[in-house]
Amino acid sequence: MFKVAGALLVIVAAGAFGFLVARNYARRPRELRALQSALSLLETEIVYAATPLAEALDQVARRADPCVAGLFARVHATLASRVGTTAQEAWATALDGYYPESCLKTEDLAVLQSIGQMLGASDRQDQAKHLRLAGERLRAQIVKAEEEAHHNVRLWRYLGLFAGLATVLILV
Amino acid sequence: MGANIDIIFKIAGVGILTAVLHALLKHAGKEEQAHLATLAGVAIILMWVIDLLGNLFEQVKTVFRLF
Repeated sequence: MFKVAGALLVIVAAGAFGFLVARNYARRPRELRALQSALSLLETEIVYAATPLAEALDQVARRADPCVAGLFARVHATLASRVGTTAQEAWATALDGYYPESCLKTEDLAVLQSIGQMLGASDRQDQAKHLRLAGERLRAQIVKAEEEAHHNVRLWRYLGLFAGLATVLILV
Repeated sequence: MGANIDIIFKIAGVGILTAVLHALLKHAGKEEQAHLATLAGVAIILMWVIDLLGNLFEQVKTVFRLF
């Protein structure tokens, strides 16, 4: 009786671990795509609506996918509280808070960090150019992330389950 | 006899798992890990089989009075 319960626990734990890793791989392309569309939203706000940056970020946070909205909401909150930080600093601290709870890799983080350096620091056309550049780089990351997800999601799902089964077989 | 049947089933189970794992890893493009998994399976089973082989040799020695 105890043996069966233990075996079930081991299998379920290993399977859950595999599923968690697989979910991280599956979530990264989705998050990157949400970021890309959020950036194009921001570009539209800046170029066509000429909205002040804090307000534009608020608009983006409200309209973007919920999994990336937190990043923009955080930058907006920092800027709106008027504590005297520049947009660049606000963006950097928001990224520091957002990155650990996302599924992004350090390469993606570097792309996002490069956005902060020009945010609110130059005229509209220049910012639009930089945002478009960041969007292009994100697109390249999306292609890579999708390739990785395609290979790894199924692998990790089965790998966890089989590792649990193997452990049970060896220990019984 | 019961223990022997048990170990045969255990070996079969590990064998099937190893085969599936090998196919899975190979499909994901991780050939080296696939071979490593197979090798690990063989090593685990060998550890069980060595016990049985030792028993067999003991029995052969007893039957032919070789000690």
